[in-house]
Amino acid sequence: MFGLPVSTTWLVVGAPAFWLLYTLGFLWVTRNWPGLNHPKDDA
Amino acid sequence: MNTTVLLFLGLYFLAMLAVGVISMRRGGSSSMEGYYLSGRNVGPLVTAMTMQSTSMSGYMFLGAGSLGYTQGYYGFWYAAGDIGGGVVNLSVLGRRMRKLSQIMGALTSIEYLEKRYPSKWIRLIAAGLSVFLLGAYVLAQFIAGGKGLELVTGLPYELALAIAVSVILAYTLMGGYGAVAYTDLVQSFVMIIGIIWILVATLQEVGGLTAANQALAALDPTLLSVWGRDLAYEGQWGIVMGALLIFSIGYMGWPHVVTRHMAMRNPFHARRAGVYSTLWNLVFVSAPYILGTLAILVLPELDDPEQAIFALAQALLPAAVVGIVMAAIMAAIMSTADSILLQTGSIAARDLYERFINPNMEEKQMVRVSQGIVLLLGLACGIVALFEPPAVFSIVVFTTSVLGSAFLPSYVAAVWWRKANTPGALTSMIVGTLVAFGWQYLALDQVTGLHPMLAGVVLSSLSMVVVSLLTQASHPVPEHVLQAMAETAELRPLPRPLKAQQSFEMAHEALTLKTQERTT
Repeated sequence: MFGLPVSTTWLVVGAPAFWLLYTLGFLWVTRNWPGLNHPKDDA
Repeated sequence: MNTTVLLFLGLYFLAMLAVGVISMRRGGSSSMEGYYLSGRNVGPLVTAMTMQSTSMSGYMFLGAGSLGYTQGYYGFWYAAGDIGGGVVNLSVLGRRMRKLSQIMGALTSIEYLEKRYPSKWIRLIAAGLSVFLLGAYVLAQFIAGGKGLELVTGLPYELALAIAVSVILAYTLMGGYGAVAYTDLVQSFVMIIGIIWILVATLQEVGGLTAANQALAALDPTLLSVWGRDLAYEGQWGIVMGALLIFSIGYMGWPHVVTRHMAMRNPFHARRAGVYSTLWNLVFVSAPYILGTLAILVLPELDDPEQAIFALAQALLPAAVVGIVMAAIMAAIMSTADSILLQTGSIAARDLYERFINPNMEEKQMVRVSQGIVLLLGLACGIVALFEPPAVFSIVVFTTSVLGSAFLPSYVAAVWWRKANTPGALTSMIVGTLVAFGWQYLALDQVTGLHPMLAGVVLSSLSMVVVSLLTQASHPVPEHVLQAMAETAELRPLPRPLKAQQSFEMAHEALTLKTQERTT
């Protein structure tokens, strides 16, 4: 892809994809976090 | 000297000063919590953007461009870790550190360590180390600011440095953390706009990414490899893993970055801030490495690879746009410099001066002392930056490795491991510092094939675990710390009575009393 060797393509495309999945995983794990609607009271 | 570029830069500097004035009027320097943490009232977007723009220093426009120019796609190992740095930090530490720091009544990230691992030695060593290393980091950013402004405006380096330092000092002194965080927000947007603009212009110049890669392959096929020019790093997984670690998990060891958790308005905002961080990083982080690599085609005869991105902007963009790109470069430098400057000054004032020399100051007096120390530190670094400026890249990589190795296990274990105790944290800090420092000083990475950061983090983490376990009987974690950690783990708001008893000096005692009250 983009004229790059396979290993470089994995690095250039794979790393962002991995962190995107990590972020989605974080959102899923924390889906039950309460208190997002009461900013001042939840600290 | 181009007047359009100067106009843009002038407007940008004025905007930063205006944010400083607004923060001051909102009470940014009226109390210690206001000055150090903006009253713990920072929302998720600002938290994410101040974290990212602070983490992405002038290195991104100087060092990253230079790495791309000299090593081609090998630089992507750094970008690969960097993209996840924000969300890792916020997901691992964010909510818990925010809550624990408030229960403990800590105002700086070093004070937090002493309250979690009660010992004056923790504070003394951590504060001393931070002031030394972060001071060097401030110096690197000032040098970058001076060099950047010199290149853009044609002003002499000394004058350019004086202007950059004066603007940073002015808004940091006026508004404290609030000014730093909100200027960082603006700067993060400027950085994104600037980097996209120069990237689009460069891609147009080289005929697109695929054509550029083909041209690079014709010049030297190893530039497209993940192992660097001439495959210099081939098979060196120890070095590569260190490159990945330094900017992914390494941020969790940086005192000036983890402070961002402590200033959040709501511990649960870590969730949204993590998403904003990833989105921003996905757009920004890889670009400087690509630009550095593409500069090989556009400007093959550059004398100084650190100037690759500056030079691309000047060569390819109209003057008005160069102004925006240059503002972006200055934004990257200033957003890091202001945060580190404030953090170093705060640590020197709160964790060294107040803690060990003059503990009986009034709150307003303490804010003035902090401002005085920030001013002195800024002036000192500015003066040092005038003489024989060392290579920015080397300083930044050196300090980040040592900071990450020294503090990462202590910050992570503080909220996640109930057995992490004072001897464990102390040993971990000392081992992490010595290993990372010695590894670089003795060039052991060349002998062992292991990056200093990798060696430092592994050995400091092992020290934390082994020493904590061995000393559980003689140095148990105090009961009030365990209770605070238990409260931190709960997914609920801090009980109001506990909040009402918050005192920066008496936080431990307040928590203990409250817990005893509940159980009797």
